[in-house]
Amino acid sequence: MSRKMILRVPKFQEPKRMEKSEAQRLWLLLKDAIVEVQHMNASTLSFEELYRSSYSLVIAKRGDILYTGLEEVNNHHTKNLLDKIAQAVDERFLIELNSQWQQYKLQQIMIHDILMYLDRMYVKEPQLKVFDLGMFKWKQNVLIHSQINDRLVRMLLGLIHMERNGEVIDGALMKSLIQMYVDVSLKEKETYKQEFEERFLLATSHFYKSESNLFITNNSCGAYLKKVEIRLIEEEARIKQYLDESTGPKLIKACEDELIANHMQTMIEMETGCRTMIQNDRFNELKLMYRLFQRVENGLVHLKNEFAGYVRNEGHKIVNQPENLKDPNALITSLIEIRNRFEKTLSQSFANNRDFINSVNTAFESFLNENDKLSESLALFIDKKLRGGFKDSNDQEIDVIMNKVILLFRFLSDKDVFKKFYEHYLAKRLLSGRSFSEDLERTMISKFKQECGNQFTSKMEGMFTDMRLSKDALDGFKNYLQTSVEMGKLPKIDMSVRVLTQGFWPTFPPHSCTLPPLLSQYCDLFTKYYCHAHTGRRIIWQTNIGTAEVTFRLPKKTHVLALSTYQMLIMLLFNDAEKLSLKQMAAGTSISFMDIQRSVKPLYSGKYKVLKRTPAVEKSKELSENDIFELNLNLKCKLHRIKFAATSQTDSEPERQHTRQRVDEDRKIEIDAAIVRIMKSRKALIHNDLIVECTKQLSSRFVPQTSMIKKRIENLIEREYLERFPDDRRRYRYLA
Amino acid sequence: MKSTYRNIAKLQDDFTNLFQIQDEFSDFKIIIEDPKNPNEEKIFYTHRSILNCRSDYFQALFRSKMKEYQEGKILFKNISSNIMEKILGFIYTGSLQVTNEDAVEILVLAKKFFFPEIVNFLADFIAESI
Repeated sequence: MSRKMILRVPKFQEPKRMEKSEAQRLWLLLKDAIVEVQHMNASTLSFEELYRSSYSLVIAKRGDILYTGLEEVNNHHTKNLLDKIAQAVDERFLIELNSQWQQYKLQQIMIHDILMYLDRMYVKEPQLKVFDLGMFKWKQNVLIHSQINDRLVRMLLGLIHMERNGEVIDGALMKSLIQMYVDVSLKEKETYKQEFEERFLLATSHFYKSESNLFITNNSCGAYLKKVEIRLIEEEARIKQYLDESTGPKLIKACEDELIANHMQTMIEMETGCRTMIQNDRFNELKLMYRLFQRVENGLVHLKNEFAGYVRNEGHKIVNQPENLKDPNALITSLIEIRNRFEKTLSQSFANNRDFINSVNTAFESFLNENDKLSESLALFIDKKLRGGFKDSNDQEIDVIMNKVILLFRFLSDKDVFKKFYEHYLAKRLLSGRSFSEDLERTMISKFKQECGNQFTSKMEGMFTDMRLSKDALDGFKNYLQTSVEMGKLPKIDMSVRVLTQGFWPTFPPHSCTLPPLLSQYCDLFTKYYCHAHTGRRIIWQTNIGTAEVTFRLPKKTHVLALSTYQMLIMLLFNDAEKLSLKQMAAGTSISFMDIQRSVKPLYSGKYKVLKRTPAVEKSKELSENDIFELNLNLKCKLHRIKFAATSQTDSEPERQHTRQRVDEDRKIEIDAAIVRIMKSRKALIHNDLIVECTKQLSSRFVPQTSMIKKRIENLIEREYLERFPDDRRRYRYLA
Repeated sequence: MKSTYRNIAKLQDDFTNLFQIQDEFSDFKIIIEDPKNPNEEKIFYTHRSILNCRSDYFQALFRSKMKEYQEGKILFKNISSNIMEKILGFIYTGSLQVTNEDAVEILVLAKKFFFPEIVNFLADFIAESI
């Protein structure tokens, strides 16, 4: 080290041994000064002199004289103050206490400043710091003294009570006095908590218990909610104004318990309560209720359950209303309406809370699957819309409706049933040329696709392809007819054929009929043409879903009748007969009697009657096979073209049964596929696990019945896809 | 983008002589009765706001509003003026130059006035010097 090793130690700083008398002199000087400070006469004292005195004492290791002396002086002073304060009467008490306290606090800061060197260099734990010592003496000799403490707390609580009842009190005074409890607390605000806060919270609970009981019995729920909200705002303000912030959460909790938690059940059940609000769409009141209930434990659970219960109940009413059961359109419209309504409640009142939305959705799921009507009703609803119901809606409205349809669809547990019905009605729309817009059809299908994937819509898309290809095929056929040699021999008729790929389309119940020779010939020609162009294909004629236009010559007028193929066949019979019984019609056309009945009905009982029943039997609706019909030559109709519905729009029960059967058939295949898939990957599995896994896999399409899965397992065992373990009959093994 | 321009050296230069000359902004006098030159008083013309924010001692002094606060001056005996000048230099500029000659004297004063940074620095300095 190159630095010069000389340190100059100045003479005057050499520590001298301090005489006891010198120490005593310095202490007396300080003591006099402290007493002056306590009498608020500090301005003439020299800070430096006092500081230097305390400094000198400490460095001379005489700090003990100073510290014990200070303790005594404080002790003495606070005891004097107690008497002074305790004598003050009524309101003067608080004012006197507060002014003495404020002065005392200032004095203690000053004393601390003078004795800063003592405070920092001498005081060691567990001794109190100079300022804390002052606080402690105040607490010991003034604040918690029996003459002060109880009187003070009672007066403070009395003032708060008055303020809660609407009177104006001195907030600054409150703040100062309450803060005093905090200031004299040595750690964790213990004095404040013990002496003030505990009693304050108790008084608060007490106050709000009686207020809330009284208010809620004399007012509506809405008024009560508003009252609670105001009270909570007031208490929040009270915390800021004069309480210690650590009391905030406890105070609010106490208020919430008394004002909300204890009355939740009442608020839900009372006549003007939650139920009524939901019923009457009182969004603002519900919103307030939501906000308040949110603050207490389990509050929202109560509200949510009540709301979900109401939703379920309303939904249940709708799906079971007799009128709705008859009218799918009304049913779905009402469902969309309540969905809209509850979505509004959810967004306006319940902040679109996830739990609330989920429980509403669960409710929808439960009532929508209460009976098996919904799949078909929904399919029919869309059918009606796509047949022209969308005519007056703009794109946006259409999109909204379609999305609602998808929403309801999402809740269906048996989506496969819906799919069958949808395909069925789609087929009918396409074949009867009743679809309003192919664009809309495709939009709807793309929404299903988004929801359920390709597999769900592949058949529907196949139908559209068929329609397009059919058109090409038909054009080709017409050209072919032009060049065909046989053509010359045949009278010309305008025939339109649609080639439907089996599998894409619903299988229509097979019905046979005898076509007139001319039509048969045309059919044969088409078959010949088509099978030549597409080798290996086979054509099966499905006459029961065809339509025809027939010229109807009356003595004075000619009409064109738009008929089903069956109706055409029946009408053609009248070319050779004047009167025909139903039995004869059936014999002449080879159509089943049931179809004859259905076909004839619109012809004689609709607005325009081309057939009449002889003898006319007005009221009997049942047709027997011996009923006789003849052409109605007196038909009066201004229209040239008359259209007859082949069948009613909704399907007959047998058709519906047929659709259901096909769903069941499809389900068997799906279940088989699922079982095989699972077993192939797991190799061996216990019966119950297989059932669970299988149900899980299929749940997006339908909810399979356990009994059905069992049957399919048996079937697969028979077909040797699976086998049971010989030693454990409950386990299956996959046979590759 | 963010950037900070600093010119501490300039700041220190500007503040170095701030307490040497009396001007209209000075509001607190520090008077030294130097034991070495008993007949000569040295006066520093300082600023309450700076002393208050840089030193615990002066903060306490101003807060207590005693005689010195009222009169706007303080008298130190038994402190040499060049040591006081160094302490004030530190208060105003944040830098302190020590030599072997004055280290101990500054250390004592720094302890009395609570400059823990100086105390630590000097303790190391002295330890190294011995």
